[in-house]
Amino acid sequence: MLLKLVLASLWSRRVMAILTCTSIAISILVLIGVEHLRAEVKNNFERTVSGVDLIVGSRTSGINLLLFSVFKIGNPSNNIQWKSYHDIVNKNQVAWAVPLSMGDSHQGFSVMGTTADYFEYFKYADKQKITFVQGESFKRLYEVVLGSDVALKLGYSINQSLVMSHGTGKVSFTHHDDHPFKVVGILKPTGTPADQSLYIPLQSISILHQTQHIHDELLSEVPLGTTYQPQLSAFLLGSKSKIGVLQLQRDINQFKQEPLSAILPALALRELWKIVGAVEISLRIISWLILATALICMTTMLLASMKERERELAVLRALGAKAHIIILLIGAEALMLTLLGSFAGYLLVTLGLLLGQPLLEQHFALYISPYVNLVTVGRFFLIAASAAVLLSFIPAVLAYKKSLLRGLKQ
Amino acid sequence: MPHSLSIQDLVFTWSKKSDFTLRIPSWQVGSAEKVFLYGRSGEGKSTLLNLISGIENRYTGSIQVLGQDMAKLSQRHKDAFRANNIGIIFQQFNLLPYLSAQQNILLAQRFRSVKPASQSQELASICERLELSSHLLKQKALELSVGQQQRVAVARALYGAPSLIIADEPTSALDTQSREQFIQLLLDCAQSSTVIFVSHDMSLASHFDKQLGLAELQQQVSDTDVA
Repeated sequence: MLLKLVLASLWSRRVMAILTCTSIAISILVLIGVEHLRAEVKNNFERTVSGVDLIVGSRTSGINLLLFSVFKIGNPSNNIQWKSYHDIVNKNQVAWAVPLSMGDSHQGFSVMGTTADYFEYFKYADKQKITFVQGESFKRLYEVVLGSDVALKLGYSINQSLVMSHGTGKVSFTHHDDHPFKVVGILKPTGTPADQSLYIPLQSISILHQTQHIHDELLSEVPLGTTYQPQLSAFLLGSKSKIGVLQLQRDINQFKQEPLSAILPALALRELWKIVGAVEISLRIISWLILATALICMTTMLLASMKERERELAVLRALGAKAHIIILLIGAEALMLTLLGSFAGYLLVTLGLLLGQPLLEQHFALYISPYVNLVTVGRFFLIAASAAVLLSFIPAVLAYKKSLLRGLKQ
Repeated sequence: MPHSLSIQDLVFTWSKKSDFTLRIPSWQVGSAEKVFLYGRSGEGKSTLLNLISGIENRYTGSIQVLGQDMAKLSQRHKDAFRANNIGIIFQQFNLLPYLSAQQNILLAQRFRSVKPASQSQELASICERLELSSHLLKQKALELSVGQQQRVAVARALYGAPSLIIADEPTSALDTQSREQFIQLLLDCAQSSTVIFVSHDMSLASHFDKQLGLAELQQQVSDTDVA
């Protein structure tokens, strides 16, 4: 009966109630949306590189090195001499090394020169290996492996021929027309920037930039002192032991022949996330403020409706409704509006994510799960509901006092 | 015969700022008496009814309703006492517009601890007396005509057979003919209850057993003061 009374009363003020519900829904939408995006972006971020002990590049900041080698953002400040690479790789703590050479692009996607070892050693998420959906790694000079996004967006399939262009822009005036590449493998989606690259043999990068004729035979190793010595942008290292990593890092940082930087990817990722973190915090603050605003709006609405409901509450009091019933009525109304609004907000977020996910993936390479974390949602619901109930005490107590004072008076 | 209402040395001051004071040295209403209380606007009629029904508490002196000293009850108990024993009819009837007529009638029942043995039977008998059809009972109060609202308001006050019925200017919104009708209806239906009917309209006084003015009740103060 009490619930019926609340519902009937709310229904009689439905326009205001719907508006209030909407404002709460929107604020919950923002709150859940921001929190979900933040968690997903962070997750995406942390998945990008794993299983790599060190990333080595020409002397630069750790973040810059991480950005261009893993995220394919920006450029290396300098190249690494092939000899330096060779010397470091031959140190006995080194278990494996994967050279990387960037600087070319294809239709706006970066082209990475590397060795077949890349697919063996570069890992993502929880030490997951990159696997092939179709085909296999390159074995010859003019062969290319595509990241899943590249294949999907450009509609390429196995055995197709592509032309690389110099520079990293989408529009390039130097096309390496005389060296068409054949697609030999397509990678499984990883949800990391690895999906957005084309992979070609390291040697092919060098010959792209040279006019000399080289027969299409991929050597397993580039011997020193041959006519072409690839210039590297960076390389990935695996250490034989965990303890050896720091020693190796120090050795590389103090490398005599050339100024180099070696970074621990996990540490650099954390450093980078800290920068993003400031945005994260402000987003969070903003979303909480939005919720606070919505709840205060609801309180205002309740207060405003008290004027309108004075008579109604006075009637209830006069008929013998105890004080707690009046407080319960108003509290229940606040709770109902908040829960209804919150639920609507949650549905909107899920709907929005389901609709927007393909777009985010396409345009920002963000893998956002459309299913928000229900524990987080539950926490927000709880916080919003308790805040609503607490805030409803203001109008409730005022109404109770008023209905007592005014009583039968009109 | 025990008094339905007994007031002794009642003094009520609206607030410290206002000099309005209600003083009633002595007033008794007998059981099942039908009293017409006349008062001009602003004389404190509503305040007096609030005091009697336990809604207003800031007073000195004694108010006994149906033998119960109101000052001895906590607010909670006052609310319960009011729900169980007092039926109230308001100015403009004050039905909740969004509830159906039947829900309005049963509203007071919700707050009562003593429930009639058979709710539906009680409701049926009241509705029969007041000529409230089952179709009408289902309608929202908002959709009822003034005459229908009157009858629903009376039904609400009578439901559960309260010993005391208080009516606060219930006829102020009605035309003369409806007024007569309304009072007749109320008095016919509330024969076993005490009725205190407050109005500024003297023309209604003749329907009641007893007529007195609020000014008269207070007058005694000046009289005793003078004496």
